[in-house]
Amino acid sequence: MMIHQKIVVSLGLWTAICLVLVGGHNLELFGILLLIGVLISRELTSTFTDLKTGDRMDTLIYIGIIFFVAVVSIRILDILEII
Amino acid sequence: MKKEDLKSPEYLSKVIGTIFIILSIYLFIFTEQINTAFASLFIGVLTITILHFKTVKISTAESMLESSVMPLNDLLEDLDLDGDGVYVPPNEQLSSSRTYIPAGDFRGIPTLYDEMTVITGGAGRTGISLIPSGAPILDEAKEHMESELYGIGIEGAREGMGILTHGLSLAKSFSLRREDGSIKLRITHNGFNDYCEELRGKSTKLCTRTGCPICSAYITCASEGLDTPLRIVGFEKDEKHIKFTLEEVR
Repeated sequence: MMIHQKIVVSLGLWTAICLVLVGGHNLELFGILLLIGVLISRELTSTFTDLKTGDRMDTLIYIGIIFFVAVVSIRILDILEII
Repeated sequence: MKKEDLKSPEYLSKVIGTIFIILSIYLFIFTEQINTAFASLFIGVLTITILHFKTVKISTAESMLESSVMPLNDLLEDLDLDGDGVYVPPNEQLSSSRTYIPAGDFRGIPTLYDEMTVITGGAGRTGISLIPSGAPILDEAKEHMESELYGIGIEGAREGMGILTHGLSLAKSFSLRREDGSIKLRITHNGFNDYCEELRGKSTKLCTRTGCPICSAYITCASEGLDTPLRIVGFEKDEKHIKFTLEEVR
């Protein structure tokens, strides 16, 4: 199995585990767990992946970080009772 | 588009990814399973974006590897060069690694230069100097390394071999260690056993002389990592493993 196939299979399994653990409602927690999974797999495979795969994984990470910032911002605004 | 093309991994990945994305759209619109829909979308996008490599059939890859080494081996057969190969790392006179194949008994490495292929260095120092057949594969692995391979020791050589093994999937695993004053290299097959047997069926001397591109990449990696010429002094092959015994030539 090639390294990028291993990445997809392991992240697919991680997604299934997160889905079982979190259930069907808490989207914020689920999204952040997926982001952690992508970050860990990016770090562990950085030596073996080619630049193109690395760039594509980085794009996924940037989307995840934007999602994370949005989640944190909404929480802060919620605590400050602005929204 | 041929039916065979549709079975290739890059097309299959796109089909599977699209199915997951369609499933996620259905779940978003018609159900309240938001996380399941999100998970389906994530797997779909991941499958399409990460599995993007164009692949060739294993038989085609094997033929390409064979075509790069067999004409060379036939030439060495015709020249009746019986000596075992010595992998020489770059030095002051050489800008890239070379495989030196002595004409007869090995009595030391003559001075090798980039532009010289036939070496006539006097008695016992005559032979042929070639670019290792695995050098282009090793060059690809080097692009992924965090530091230069040259002379960083046995750990650095192992890092390079790790990329050849896990990054380029050339083998299932490997082992590189010093034992009894020599270097032991063991490579465990990863689906290229048939290719290996086929090549060995055509020429048993191939492995100890220049090696196939896969073994050549590993030995060149060891030689460059240790920054020492390595001479093949032993070779064994069983069903799963290839074992090289390499001698450091000072």
